[in-house]
Formats: sequence, C-alpha cells, structure tokens
Amino acid sequence: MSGFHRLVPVFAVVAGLLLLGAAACGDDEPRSLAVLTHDSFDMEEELLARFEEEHDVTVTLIEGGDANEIVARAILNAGNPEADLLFGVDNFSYHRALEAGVFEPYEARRRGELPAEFLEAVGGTLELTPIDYGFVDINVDLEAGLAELPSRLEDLADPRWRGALVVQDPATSSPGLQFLALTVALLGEGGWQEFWAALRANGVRVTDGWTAAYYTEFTRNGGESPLVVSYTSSPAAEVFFGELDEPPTRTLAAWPLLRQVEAAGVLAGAAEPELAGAFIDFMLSDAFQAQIPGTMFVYPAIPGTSTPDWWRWAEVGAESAALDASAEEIDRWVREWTEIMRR
Amino acid sequence: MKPGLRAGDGVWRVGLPAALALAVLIAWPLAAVLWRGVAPDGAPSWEAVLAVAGDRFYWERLGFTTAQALVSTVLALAVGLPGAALFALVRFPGRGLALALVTVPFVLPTLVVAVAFLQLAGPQGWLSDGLALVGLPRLDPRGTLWAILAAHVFFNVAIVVRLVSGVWANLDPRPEEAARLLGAGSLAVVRHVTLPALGPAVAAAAALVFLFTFTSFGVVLVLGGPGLDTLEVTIFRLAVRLVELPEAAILSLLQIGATLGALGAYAWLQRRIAAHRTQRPDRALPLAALSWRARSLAAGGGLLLALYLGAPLAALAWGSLSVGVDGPSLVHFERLFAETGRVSFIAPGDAVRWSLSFAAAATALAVVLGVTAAAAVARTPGRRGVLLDALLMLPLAVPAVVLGFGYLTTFDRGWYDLRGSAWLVLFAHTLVAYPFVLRATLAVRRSLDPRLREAARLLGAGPARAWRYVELPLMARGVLAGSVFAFAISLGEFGATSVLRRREFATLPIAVFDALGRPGGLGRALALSTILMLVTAASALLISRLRYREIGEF
Amino acid sequence: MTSLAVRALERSYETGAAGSGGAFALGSLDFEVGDGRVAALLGPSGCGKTTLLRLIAGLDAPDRGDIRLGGESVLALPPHRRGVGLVFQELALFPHLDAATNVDFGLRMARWPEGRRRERVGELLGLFELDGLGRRRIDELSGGERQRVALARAVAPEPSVLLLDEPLGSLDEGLKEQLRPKLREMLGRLGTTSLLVSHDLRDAVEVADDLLVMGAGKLLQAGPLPSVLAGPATLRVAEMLGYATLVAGPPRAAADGALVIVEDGVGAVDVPGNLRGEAAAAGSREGRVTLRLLAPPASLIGVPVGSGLGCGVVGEVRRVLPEGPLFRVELALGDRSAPARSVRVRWEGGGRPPPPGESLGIAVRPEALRLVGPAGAVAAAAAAGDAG
Repeated sequence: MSGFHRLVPVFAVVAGLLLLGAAACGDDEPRSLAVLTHDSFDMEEELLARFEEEHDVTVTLIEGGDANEIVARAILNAGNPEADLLFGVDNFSYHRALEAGVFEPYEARRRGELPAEFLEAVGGTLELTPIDYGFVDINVDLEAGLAELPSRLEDLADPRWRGALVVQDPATSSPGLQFLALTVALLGEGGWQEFWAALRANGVRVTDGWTAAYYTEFTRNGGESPLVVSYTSSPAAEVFFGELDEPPTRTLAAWPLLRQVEAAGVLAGAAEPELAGAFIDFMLSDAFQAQIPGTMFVYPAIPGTSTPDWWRWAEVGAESAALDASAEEIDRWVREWTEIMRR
Repeated sequence: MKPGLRAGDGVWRVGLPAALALAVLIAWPLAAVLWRGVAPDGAPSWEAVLAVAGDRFYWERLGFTTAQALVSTVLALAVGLPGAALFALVRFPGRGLALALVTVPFVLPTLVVAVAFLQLAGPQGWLSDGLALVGLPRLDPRGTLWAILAAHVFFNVAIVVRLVSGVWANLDPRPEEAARLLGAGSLAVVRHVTLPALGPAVAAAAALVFLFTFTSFGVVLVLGGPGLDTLEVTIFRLAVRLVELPEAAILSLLQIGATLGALGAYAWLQRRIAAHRTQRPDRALPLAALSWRARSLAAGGGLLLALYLGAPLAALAWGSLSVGVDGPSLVHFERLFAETGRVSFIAPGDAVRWSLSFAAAATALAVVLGVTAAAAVARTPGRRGVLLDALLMLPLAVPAVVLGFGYLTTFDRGWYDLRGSAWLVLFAHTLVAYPFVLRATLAVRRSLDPRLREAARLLGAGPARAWRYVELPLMARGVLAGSVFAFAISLGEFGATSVLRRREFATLPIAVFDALGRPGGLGRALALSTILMLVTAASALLISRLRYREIGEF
Repeated sequence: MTSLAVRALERSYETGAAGSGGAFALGSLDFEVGDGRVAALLGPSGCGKTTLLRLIAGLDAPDRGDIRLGGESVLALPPHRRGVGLVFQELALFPHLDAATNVDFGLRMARWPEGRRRERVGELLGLFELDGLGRRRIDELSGGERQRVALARAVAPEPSVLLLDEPLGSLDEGLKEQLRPKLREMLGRLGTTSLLVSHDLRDAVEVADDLLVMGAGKLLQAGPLPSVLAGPATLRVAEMLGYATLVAGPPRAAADGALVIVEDGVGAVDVPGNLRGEAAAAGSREGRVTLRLLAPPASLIGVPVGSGLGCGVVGEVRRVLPEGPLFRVELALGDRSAPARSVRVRWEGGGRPPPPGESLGIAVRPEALRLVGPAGAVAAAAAAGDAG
C-alpha cells in the first residue's frame, strides 16, 4: 500500500532493524540447548558461560511463569517440546507432568547423593531429578509491633490477628498452593475447609501472587499485614539485599513445614537429550549448588553444600510434614478453596 | 444499494491484508487451542459445556464482568470528556506535553500502578494520612469494587481524552455559535450540538474502554478480591491449571461471544450516529482569549485531571527515588544498571531498545492493518459491514493467555516453529495494537464528507489514488491518534508477551515483572516503571510532533 | 469537445445522495446538450437534478437507459475515466490542500508534466481571478473565491463535459448578481459542453444557451433558451418560468365577436385575436371550462384605474418595492378579504405609485399573453404584429 509512505518511514526503518535483529537471533549456532524454567530461575552468568564453553552450546532460558504454568506449557507441547529440559516442576505439579508423559528418564551422576525423601517427593522416578528445595511459612514483620505471635495454625483465625495475614491465591501462586497444602496436611480433610472459612471471616487478605503479597500488603513494605505467607529464606534475603546485620523479619516455624522440592527433567522429544542430561548434572555440580541460595534463595538439594554466611538466617528448625497428593486431589483443594474464598 | 461508487470498490482487495493477517494470527491459533480445550479427545465434550452452562458461578462472573465494565466506561467518560474539552478547546502552554502525559497511565504495568495507588490511597497512603490528620478513618480500598473502578478509570481515561479531543479540536465551531445565538445555554449547546457531532468519537472511545475493562486482567488480579473476578481472570485461573482447559476454552468462547455482541451493537450504533461535520483547523483558543469563567472552568477541569492522573504517577516516581528515610536518591537506578553477574540481569538499555523496536514495528504493521481494515469496513454496506467491523476487533476479545497458548501450540513445527522467536511477540503486539488504529481511523473516516472522495474520482483519481491523496491525508489525524495508542499499547503489553517472552528480547514491562518476582526487586521495578513512564511520554510526544509536521496544512 | 446525450434514463432511489430522504424516481429522461453549448437544467429543489448529475458523472448507476459523451456510451466507465468535471453544490474543496493544489489535483491525477501543470494552474488562477490566492487555505477564502476555485479545479484537467450543481447556490444575492455574467463569460471562453443545474431561473437566463425544465423526476421541456422562455409548453413550465396568471375563468362571448375571460372579483380580459379560435373551441368543446391568460414576468405594467390603458384586471396595492429609480408593485387580485393570488407589476408612471390599499389597473401588450386550456397545455404564442 504505497499510500502509507508518508506515515510509515520512521517505523519502517526500525521495523527492518528489528527483523534483521530477529533473524540474527535465529539459530546460526551449531548447537543450542533450551531450558524451560520458572520465573524465579537465576544463576551466575559466569557459571553458565563455563557450561556453554565446555559443551560448545548456547543455552536459551525460557521463563514460562510459575511451576503450574511451565508444566501446562510442557503438556501443551508434549512430544514436540519448545525446550530440551524443564526445570522448576515441584512436588505438587509433577503428577500431571508425569501423567502426560512429557519427560524422558535420565539418571543423574550424583543422583545417589540426593536424600531419598527428596526423590520421593517428586515421584521417585528417573524422569525427575531434585535440584533444590524450599519451605513456605508465615513470615512476621518484627518491626510491626505485634503483641504476640500465633503458636498454632488455628490461631490465625483468632480475632487477635484479625486482618493481620496476607496469603496468595493457590490457583495462581506457587507459595499459595504450598501454604494451602500445608493446611491440608496439618488440619486434615474437613479441618482445612473450616480453617479457611474462619480465616476469611477474620479478614485474611488474598493476593494473586507472592509479589503483591510481599511487596504491597506486607507491613515491611508499606502494607497493612504484619503476617505474610512467604519463603523461609525471606529473612535471609532481607539481610542480603538490605545489607543488614540481622533480619527485620522472621519465619514463625511454630508448626511442621511442607518441603517444596524443585526438580529438573529431560523433555521427551528434545532435540538435544544428551546435552539436557549434561545440564542436569551441571545443576547438581558443587559450583551450581553452592550458588543456589544467592541466586534463587532456596536450599541446595545436595547435602553438605557450602552456603554463604548470611544464609544462616534461612535455616529452619521446624520438622517436616509429609503430604503427597495426586493432581486431581490438588485440583479439588484449589476448587474448594476457591469456593470458600471467592464466592 | 445500487452499484455505483459507495458499494464495494474492491472490498476484498482492500481488506485482504487484514483478513489474511487475522486468519493466520488469530483465527488459526485460537481455533486450535479452543478445539483442543473443548474437544480434548477429538470430539467436543458436551459434558464440560453443560457443566459450565449449569454453573451459576460462571454466569455471575459474566454478569459482574459486564456490570463493572459498564460502570467503568461511564466513569471514564465522565472524567475524560471534560478533559477532552480542555485539550480540544484551550491552547495552554505545555498542551502537547500534557496530552503526551495523559497517555502514560495507559501503558503502566498494573502491579506498578497498584503500588502507586496504595501509596496514594492505601491505608498507609498519603490520602489516608491526610484523613487521619483531620480525625477521619483511613481509606482501605483494597479488594473492593472501588479500587477496580478507580484503576480502570485511571488506565482508560487516556482513550477518552485522546480520541475525543482529536475530533473535537477540528469540529467546525459555527453550529455551536448558531445554537448559542438561538438562545441555547452552554450546557444545552454541549448536549444538543457538540455531543451529537462528537458521537462517533465518543462511541469509539466508549467501546474501547468497555472492551478493555470487560477483559480486564491485571487490575482485577491485583486490586480485586473475593467475588470480584472478571471472566478473563477466571479463564486465566482455569487455564494455568491445565486440567481445566475445557472450562477455560468454553469460557473464552463465552467471553468472545459476549464481546463480539457488544462490538456488533456498537458498530451498528456507530453507523447510525455517524455525523458529518465540517472539519476545520485546530479551533483551540489561547488561554488569554477565554472569559474569566471559562478560564477558571478549564483550570479546574485540568487540575482535577492532572491530580487524578498525576498523583499516582508522582507517587510512583517518588517511590523509585526514595530509599528509607534518607530522602531522594538514585540508588534504585544504580542497582538497575549495575551488572549483577547473574543470568537474570536485564540491561535496562536493552529493555528500552527492545520495547521501542517492538512498538515501532508493531505500530507500522498496525497502521497498515488498521487503515486497510477501516477501508474494508467503510466499504462494506449494511449488516455485513457491522459484522466485519465486530470481527476485526476480535483480538481485543481474546483472553491473552489463551492467545499465548494458541501461539505455542500452532506455530510449533518445521519452518513455522516460531516458539521463542521475536516474531511472535511482534505479531501479538500488532494484534492488540491495530484495533486502535482501526477505531480511530473509522471514527474520522465516518465524519469525512463523502463528496470529497467523489470529487477526487471525478478529477481522474481511481479508487486507490482518491484514497491515497484525499481520504488518507484527511484521515491522518485519526490514523496518528490511533498510532499513538498502538505504540503505547505495544510499549505496555504484558499478557501475551509474558507467555512468548525470552530474556534475549525482554521488554520493559517484562523487566518490571521480572524484577517484581525477585527478592529485593521492588525498588528496581519502580525505577524501571519510571523509565517506562518516561519512554512512553517521550514517544507520545514525538508521535504528536510527527502529526503536526505531516499534516501541518490542515 | 463533445456533446452530452441522455437516453431513456431511469433511476429509482431510496434516499437522495445528498441526504434528502424518501423514495424517489427519475423518470425516463431524454435530452441532448450540443457540443460546446451551455445548458441549464431548471427545476425545484428535490426534483432529481442532483441525482441526474451524479448519474452522468458516474457516482451512481442508472437502472436503465444510456449516457453518451460524443456519441459513445460511458455507462461502463468508472467516474475517473469519464472525463466529466463536476462542481459540487457544496464545492467539496479539499480542506487539506491550498487553493492552487486543489486546482492542480486533476492535473496531478492525469499525470501532466510538472511544467505544464504549473503553467495551467497559473493560467486558471488568472482566468478565474484568483491571482495571488493560490497558497491560501480553503477556509481563508471568501465564498466567491471558493466558488471560483471549485470551478477552476473542475475545468483544470480539460473535461469534455462540465457539470455544475447549483454553482451559485451558496452565495448571497449580491455576489450572485456579480458572478452570473462572469460565469457566462468564463464558460464561453472555455467552450466546454456544460450542464448547469439550478432552481433559480435567473442563473439559467443569464448563463445558458439551452434550457431544460424538470419537475418531479421528469423532463418537462427542453430547447434553446429564448424559445423555451417565450413558449412554455405547459402551465407548470410557464409557472416555473415566472409567468403570472392574469385571469382564470370561463370564456364569454362579447360584442363584435370578441371573447373575454371573466374571473369574479378580478376582472375580464380580452382574448387576443389569434387565440380567440382556440379559446372558443375549448369553450364549446368542454362546455363550462376554465381558461387562463398568462403573461411573462416583465410584461405587466401598473396603470391608474380608469386611465383606459388597463387590460381589465384591477388589483389592490399591497406593497411598493423600490427597484433602482423605478418601482415594482405587488398587487392582490380578487376579493379584498380573500385574494385569489398576487402579481407583481412594474410602475412606469412618474412619481411614486399609489400607496398600499389603493387600486391599480394592469396593462399588458396583447402579444405577451398566453392562453392555457383546461388540459394545462399552453395553446399558442401570439406572433409579433398579429395582435390588434
């Protein structure tokens, strides 16, 4: 349409440049490895460069949302994956992925060093290799001046803590789902539903994700709620980013916690399955494991990995709760939770 | 319709690029993912359909979605129309800059706006502090309909102001003068003379605001609460938990159907109210030429708009500059640019560059698509034209997450395996951007005197050249108004981009989102948002400059 | 140069193109405008004139019939290939272009070489007395200037036929007076076959060579301007041409074989000699019939009652309208309380005409009278020198 020439030239030039750029971004390299991972994935650049050099490969990271979303994407493209490797599937999202058969078995070299309970948490199958783990618990703002702290989960429904807690929607948030699962594990069928109904009556705040909860609702960041569902590593992160000597928050750790294990797997139909396996081994290497706390703020899966000094604020003394649930069951929790909280 | 000039001067030839683009970029991926959802085993699952149809919850969501969109639209018009009058009728110092700034809220990531809103009107916000000073209770709009409505107006008022003031500024003022001589008071003049003439522009703006608030996602997700989910959010919740893709697909169809219905009604309405009014050069008067009363009215309206739009932006900018109690500092910006040595590092410069590149390319494509689509719609008579018009707005009706998933499952093999390609992002941006060009162009085109085209034809111009030398220059204002929005939409696009993103071509909103998702990232997110704000304002300003140079004679 | 012929043209309509609503039909139209002639199409508003122009220009398509330029049918040609120029009633000047660029538009479309274009635009701006206004924006021009820009733009690419839709319609009376002779002169100089459409007789009289009279989608009469003006074929055409009814009533035989037409309260007028046979025949054929005597607009002269100069019709002065040094007087005919109609007459006597309320007689040269029979056809024109 020649008539556009008066309006378009400025745009057209830039468009051309962009398209050239996009073409240049195409796969000219002989080999490339794509990793589908969650949004919180991070690592040291230098370390990645070393892997790329060693294997003569370019690594592309595809950040596809939270654990649920990346599993959804993997299933959507099952058999014809957009990546070679998926990292970030956890002990709640793995069922569906396994059912859909999106992974290929791979036995990592250091698999034997991983604690059995980590392996069990993601099905105990060769298709998944645990890389790190974390806990979700109530974080409390120590500067908010709370007179007393809840000692049992049920206390949160007590008027003393009316409107004090902010949680995440388990349908859209991974820590939200972890916390819901924790209530299921600790309170049992029937009990957890009552608990949440009471929480709602007690003015609990619900956000769609961790970010909104922690950064807009938590009193530490100018919000209204002194209690927030967050990671047990959050106090350590406060120390790290605030360059503080001591954390201004702490986790309650007043009850057993549910371990969230994050795992990696080679995607079935991957273009570079060997390289994908090599990357899993790389993720279990000492170098990678040691930088996990500082980059992703979770705990390295290989026992005895050396961690930075500030990471001691992330150590939790609480015992572990156990819970394994099928995809259908998790769906049912979320549905029922949605019934209770959103209708 | 008899054969002749008005019906079908090669509708299909004109509309072909748009039709093709839409078929490949929307219809195919959408059909693929919806079919997969509705018919997971190859045949449609009526069970799921019945389950959705029988669930009162979903009907309530549809009702709520519609109601809040209607109220948001009315409110946005109420706030935006006086603003549009101000920009159209008063030539005040800094008008261009102010108009560019009005566009800014439109593109800001919702989460950032939510933070800004809370900083302003939250329980610990400035407003609450003020109320507390005089002994009134603090505000807590969180999780209320009010928060959603206020944010919707904040986001969308730019649509009303820009689209309407663009047309208003060029209305022939004589009918108003005549009405005044006939004894009509100021309000009566506005009601009986000005508003009818502005009809197409107001309707276009209202339709877009309705559409945007009907499919509202971020605002509702962040500021909403129990019972306040829109359909789009409900679909998102269902879709990301894959097992409920059938429900998500059915609800998507429901949303698309409802939106198309609304669009059809609007398209039909717009054909009815298309008002021809002579176009005149900019009628705005300098401030000094206004009466004292008009001057104070304009000042009052301007101040209100400036406060409503400016205060959250100011709160945001202030937030990016403040660290603790030590007063303003640039520490967030320094952190933003400081190499972290992590793979998560997104160089702000790169994000700006990618944002601008996508926006420029998407705008160019959107202009081509939008203008040809407008020509096709204008040349298709009767009910078919209405239908075409509604169909062409489809991209705004499709839930972003569904479109993103559609892309991932459609462009997935062989030479068209575009997963991970910047092309998909560009396509997605173009799709959400071009309806603005279409609407703005149609609004101007419908107010064009058809005789101008006929005059061109009689002077020897074929349909194409009549369009190029007469219609297009006369529509330039509309095309450019649409382009500003297309550019801004692309700059702020997040929904589809988030599914298609790659770190290698992360845009500013993606960078903001990324920063927010990481521990310690709020300050960086605010700093990035401030940069996004500045980039948007600068682009809007630049495009409006372009507009005056291009059609300076007008 | 080319002739324009319209053959058996028909067009039914839902709404007028210019926005006047309602169902409408253009009857079977036949006429021709000779090479280089200027024809005026006269008709009341909404009679289908604009529609006809749109059909000729190709902006609308007819249901039936043919349109020929220079003998060739142009029906199959789109508007931009017909070589027809149109000056829109609303002018439709391009608001985004200045005056010169408006004029240049058709030349640009016809891909004239740059130099010739500049030359032609300059020449036209000169011809239409727009020198120095070329760079003006359209809204900076006066009504008359815009009118001329529109005309210059339409003729610039040398159309074989020029159509003008109410070319003076939007101008004020004084400007029209000035522009009519200019328009005539310009069209004459161009020598382009032209069809001008107007509802105002004066436009036609002062500008055209030929006159076409149209009413309700039908062509009522066509011919060279003087012959149509002097010989309207029907009462309707006569009225459109401004003819006034002097008396309307039954014929009565008078002494010495004369025939008078009598209208109660208005008067009685002698039927001129050469129309007597016709009138008597109508009277005897139809029994009691109504006949009318009409006179063209400028032929009625006011004379004092009882001066012996009157034709037998007396009216009451209603208004006296100064017209330069002379006067025109509006007379009410018929019963004082319920006048049948009014006519305007010239006052040629010295001094002022009688004031309103007084009676005044009407004088008319017998050869100016036209007789209209019961069927509405105008019987005959009195040949000059035949009257007694």
